[in-house]
Amino acid sequence: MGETIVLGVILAIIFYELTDVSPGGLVVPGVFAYYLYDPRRLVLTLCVALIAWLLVRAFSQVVILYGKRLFAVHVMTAFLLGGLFALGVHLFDLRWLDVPLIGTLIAGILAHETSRQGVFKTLAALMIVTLLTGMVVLWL
Amino acid sequence: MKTIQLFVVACGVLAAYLMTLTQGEIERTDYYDQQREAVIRMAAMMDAIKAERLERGLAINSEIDPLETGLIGLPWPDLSEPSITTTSGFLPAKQLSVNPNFAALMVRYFHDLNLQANDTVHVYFSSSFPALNLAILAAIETMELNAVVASSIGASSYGANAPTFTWIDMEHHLLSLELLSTSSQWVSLGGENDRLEEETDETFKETLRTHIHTLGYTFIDETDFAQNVETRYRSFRMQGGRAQAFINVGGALVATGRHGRSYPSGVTHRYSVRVGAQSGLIDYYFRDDIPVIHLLNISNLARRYAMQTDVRAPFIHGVGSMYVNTTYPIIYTVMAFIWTGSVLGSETVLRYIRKPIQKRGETS
Repeated sequence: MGETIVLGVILAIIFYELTDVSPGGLVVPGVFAYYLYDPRRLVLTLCVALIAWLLVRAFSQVVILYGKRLFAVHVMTAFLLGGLFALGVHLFDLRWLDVPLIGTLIAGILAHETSRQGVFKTLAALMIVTLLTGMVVLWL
Repeated sequence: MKTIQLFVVACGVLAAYLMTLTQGEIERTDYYDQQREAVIRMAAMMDAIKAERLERGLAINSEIDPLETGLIGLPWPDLSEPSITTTSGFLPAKQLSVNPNFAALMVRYFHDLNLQANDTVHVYFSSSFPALNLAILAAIETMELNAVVASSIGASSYGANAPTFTWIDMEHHLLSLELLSTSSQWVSLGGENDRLEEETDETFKETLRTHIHTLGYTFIDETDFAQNVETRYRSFRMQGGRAQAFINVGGALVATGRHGRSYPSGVTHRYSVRVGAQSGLIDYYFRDDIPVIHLLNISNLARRYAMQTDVRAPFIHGVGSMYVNTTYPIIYTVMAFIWTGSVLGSETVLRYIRKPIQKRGETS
């Protein structure tokens, strides 16, 4: 796992230098590349990140959020959403949805990057760096 | 950078990735026969344990053990009764663990670590995943490794947590049937402080200690946690010398430590740790540069190796990516990098070319 994440960080920083677009954070593409074998976890993490981004966006209409405070709120919201999702799966016995979120902070970091540069740019950049990392890892 | 450009690049990279995946050449592992043999051994041991469990009058609940393997234990117990249940187990993980193909995965792990016949491995079993204990023993015996084993009988719920049919009862039964020749050298109670301190019924614990002695195992009972781990580690080394690998099943604190750090499931070659008072056996092996096979996050392992995840359908032998090696074509990866570099790189080059012109315009 470590090798994949380090490779992801290297490719992410090169990508960022070339384009000025963050691929969802420096660590996120490497972690996503590691979990490419499990698309359900990727989709769940993406969904949680996007919902967290929307919720914080709505919340920021009434509260001034910026900088580290905004980052912390994104991380906490994504973390809570992940917990609520797991609780819902358990309570309603939704076995087919019984998939854990990737990492503890990944969805929050992704939500924060999305808030900075927009959802489409972030998703496209994340997809590029994740898949490039995943292809190189197939060779390791 | 325009969003549309990023999407065009992303579509190209996705196409290259899909082409790479679909055009991989799949071939069986060189040790496929060993994997099959290990699976057959494990299946035979599972059958023997199921028969013994029924013989002892312990009914199998098909609601929690849909394949009726007998290797999935009891739910969280009634607190009024003494128990060896230490923590809450995750039922789906236990249901996945009864897949005999895990023995094939263990053979793969051993080959990944270049283990050969007569190499030494040190093994620590909690009783939380008895089926995985069998998978490891089946792989060890198939590959004729020299194993030094320690076990603890405390188990999470749905593990080997029936006080009348513990992991050491299962192991002892398999030894008596000669389905197994590797036996635990030391047994402890497991759980809190490795002395089952969460259970307050001393009479019950004394019965367990007597039972361990009766079955002929050496009982370990250290009051100090750090001392316990260090003694265990020294005992392992004195008995088997330096190990080529350490294998741990489950989350017993003696193995994982009390510092709350979690380790990746599967094979880890190196991990930077500092051994301290809260360290478990895993830390000691990492400190000494010995690779560790840690089996805990079973659902993740099953998905990673494309194993069957429907726990209600019988597990078919030979299913999973651990039986094959896949060679992927490099051409699409190269094309993806060229594609990304040419589209995004050209934009960057143009940006740098434009900058001095703008500056000249400003100063003139």
